[in-house]
Amino acid sequence: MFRRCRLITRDYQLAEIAFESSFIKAIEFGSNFRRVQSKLRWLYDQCDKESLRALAKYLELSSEASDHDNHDKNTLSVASFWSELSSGDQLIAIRKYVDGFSSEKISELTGLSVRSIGYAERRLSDKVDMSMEAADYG
Amino acid sequence: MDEHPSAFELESWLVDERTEEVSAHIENCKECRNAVDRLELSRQEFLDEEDVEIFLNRPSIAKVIEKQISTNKQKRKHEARRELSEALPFLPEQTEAMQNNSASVEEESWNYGLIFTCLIILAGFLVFIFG
Repeated sequence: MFRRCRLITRDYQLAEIAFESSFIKAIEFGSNFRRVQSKLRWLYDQCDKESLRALAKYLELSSEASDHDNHDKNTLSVASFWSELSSGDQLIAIRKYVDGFSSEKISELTGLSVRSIGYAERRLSDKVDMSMEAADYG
Repeated sequence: MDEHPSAFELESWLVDERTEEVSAHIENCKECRNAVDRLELSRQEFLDEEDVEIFLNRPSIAKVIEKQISTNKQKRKHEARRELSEALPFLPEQTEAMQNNSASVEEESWNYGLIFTCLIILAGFLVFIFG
């Protein structure tokens, strides 16, 4: 779980926050957790949500702060990358690049057509290129 | 399974959420076996670094655990009461408001009973004296 949080946030401290929050969610879910079919999937879904939430909060705090020097540039670029994606694209990105699923498998899981997944992957790839370019110029 | 399993499938396999397909692939694929070994190693390293007791005693986590324990106790009480009323349907049905006030109501009825008994004894005594 922690590895996954780190993979999404690319930041140790944010990953710790996300991991802790996911663990709390699991405790709060209590005995219902036993009824979950795939426990790993459920836990990972919490990690994904909490990691994205931690990144969004980081971005929000950095925009409120007067001095941006206290905020890590890499984490900020990761946070803004995720924040610019729609929730659908976020899900596809996680399934593709974190879970390592094929387009067919993502299509099966999300109920979207393989073509739609292909378009989303192209959008994501363009977005990554733009972010890399921005980072180079920055 | 011709293709390698995804990262998620390998992780699922590692935590005993296994499918025959993935098990068969891992058995025959050195690359995937190595990947699983690496995952297991990193899991072990994390467990060695992180003290479970310290983790569970973090204020935010300890608070939620305590809250959950007290909620579970309440839940168990309610469940036990429900099971009892199902098993013994002739028992008077308690409403939620009555359940909350059951302790004070019981105490009050006990007081009335005591006063009533005293009055009967007094009346008996008076009849005995003057009769």
